[in-house]
Amino acid sequence: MVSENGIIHVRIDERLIHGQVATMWTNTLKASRIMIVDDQVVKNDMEKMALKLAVPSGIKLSILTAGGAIKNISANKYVGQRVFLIVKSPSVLRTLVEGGINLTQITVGNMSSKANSKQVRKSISVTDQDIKDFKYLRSKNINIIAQMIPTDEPTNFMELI
Amino acid sequence: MDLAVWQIILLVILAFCSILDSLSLNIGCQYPVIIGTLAGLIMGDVTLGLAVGATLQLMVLGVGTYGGASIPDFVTGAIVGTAFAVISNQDVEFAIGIAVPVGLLMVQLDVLARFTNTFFLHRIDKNILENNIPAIKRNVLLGALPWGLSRAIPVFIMLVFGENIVNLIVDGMPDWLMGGLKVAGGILPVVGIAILLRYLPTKKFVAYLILGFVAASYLKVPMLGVALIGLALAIIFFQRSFTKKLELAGNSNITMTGVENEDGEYED
Amino acid sequence: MKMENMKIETKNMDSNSITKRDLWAANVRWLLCSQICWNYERMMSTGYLYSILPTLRKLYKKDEDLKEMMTLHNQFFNTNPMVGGLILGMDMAIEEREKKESKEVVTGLKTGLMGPFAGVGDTIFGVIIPTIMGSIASYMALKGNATGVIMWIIVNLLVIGFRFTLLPFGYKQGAKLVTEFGERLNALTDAAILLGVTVVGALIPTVINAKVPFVYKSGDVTLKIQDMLDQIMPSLVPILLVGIVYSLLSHKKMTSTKAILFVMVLAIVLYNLNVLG
Repeated sequence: MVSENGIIHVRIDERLIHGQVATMWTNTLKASRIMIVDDQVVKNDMEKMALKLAVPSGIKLSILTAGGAIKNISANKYVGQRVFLIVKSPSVLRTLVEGGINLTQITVGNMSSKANSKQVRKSISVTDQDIKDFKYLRSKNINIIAQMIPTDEPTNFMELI
Repeated sequence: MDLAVWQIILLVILAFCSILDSLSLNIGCQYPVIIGTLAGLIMGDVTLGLAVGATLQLMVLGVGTYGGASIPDFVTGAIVGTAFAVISNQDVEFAIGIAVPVGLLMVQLDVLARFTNTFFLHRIDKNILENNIPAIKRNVLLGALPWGLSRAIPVFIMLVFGENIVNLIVDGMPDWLMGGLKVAGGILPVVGIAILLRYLPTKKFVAYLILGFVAASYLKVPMLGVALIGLALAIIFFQRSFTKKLELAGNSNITMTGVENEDGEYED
Repeated sequence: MKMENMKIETKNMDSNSITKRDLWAANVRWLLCSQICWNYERMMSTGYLYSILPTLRKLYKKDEDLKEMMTLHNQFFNTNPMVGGLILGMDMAIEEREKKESKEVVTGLKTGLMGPFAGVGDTIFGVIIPTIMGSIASYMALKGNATGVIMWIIVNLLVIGFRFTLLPFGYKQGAKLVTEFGERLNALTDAAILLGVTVVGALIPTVINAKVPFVYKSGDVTLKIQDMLDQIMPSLVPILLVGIVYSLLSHKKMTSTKAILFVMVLAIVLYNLNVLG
């Protein structure tokens, strides 16, 4: 999937660069850059160092705030690259879309259970706010699927919530 | 030939212990080739067990339960396949014919076991609030039961009740199927190999893939020999890439070539 | 949050400090029970809680504190069990020093490290070692030789021994573990992958059994197809088969289960067409 702004795959995964994500998805997608967008992670030195460790060698890494991501992507900074965007929750993607970023498809991987969340699938639990954010994203004609690893059957996510 | 009671008991225990070992010590009981050997030992035909286990092992080489995904359970397949092949006086391909469907079906039970443990998780949540330490310990350990039983019960059922079905199959098995299964046994390792090549960054190391192939196929170097060659190359690679990183780093601890801005954002 | 070097200089022998016995207890618990209550909701949380429980009881004498920390440690956790001991050790070092103040740091540590450690751990202990040992063991087993199997079991026992060193190591190093050894981890993973790929290359001609029995007869001419193929390149058919399944797997809908079924059906068909035998 080639897109104009350089983003080839969007994934919601609380584990960010988890074992599976790092190797399987990055290889399958032939990504050239992994972009983490999370305002909290940017402030956490430990997590940042851990992410730098985890990124497969040869792949570039960006750790940005939502605002920073909007600025960079809108400035066409990643055109021609193959960016694999990973976030922890749909609210971040909502912020990006509201900021004018164009996304065509979102893959939901891991969302752990929290207070007041409802489990909708093996490793996906959503809060009411999550559901609102997902509905917003869907209303922008973005395709939302659930898929853990590349060899899994992708399923329509909106049918689950 | 019939399955003796002591054999059934041992095989069921084997199934129960294998999954628990895979979750903890990891002596090797979740690997089909090791379990197949043990099953073969119990059934009195180690060679068959070795062959069955090996074929199944090659099919799942490198496939793992990463992040909680479920994979075909060829450990159970190896146990059941070996057992039935021995008592029906059949060969490896027969065992494979049973082992593969069994393994594929067992995935559902793995999913079930993982789900069931959520029950214990919630009990532990309550225990924490009540500060009930012994109960916490108890519930954690009870989690072993869904795991073990999810393997032991099916194996038990299959071994006890499956004999009649297996006999029917043996009598009615046509040659086109048997022969086909024999060929299948020979080429099924292709799946495990292809999966591995897909998920490792093969393109980056394709030269070494070719090297391994040439060593084994033209030079007839045995597997262990190739592994040693690979180890030597890996050490050279590691030493070279490590010294290269040290050169880039100079004195600083952080050798990443990226830049961090005042907001804390990082990019390379 | 900036992390400083957390070297534990002197151990005061009051009842609040972590002893070798405590490290041992946590180590054994982690080794045996890290995944025993694994579930989809919080995965390894219970194993982590169980392992660190004795330490928590030692450090937090007030009921309220204990409850709070127990809840924290029953939160979502999933990493490679072989290397998880490192995180546990680091966690214990930090909590011993900062007690309840370390709550956020510990959360950050666990959340931040479980992913990357899973990546390295899964690659080395989940893919590379089983691939190499599995290849050797299976290759020998197909010839009726159980030596490979025994070798694999020995390797696994050595790995258990190695795991035991990680928790105390993490405890001694504390947070600076991440900065100092970080870069080596990537090189190590790459080297391991290199080894794995070499072995897989050797697997193709060694364990795939695919011969073409087809013989072409016309008058006096008898052509054995397999001989012809061997002239071009030995193990040509295995390579072709790997190539077919490899490209099949690039399709979105293909799963490993479907690939297995595909190969079985293919085998039966080709057998009956006398292409494979």
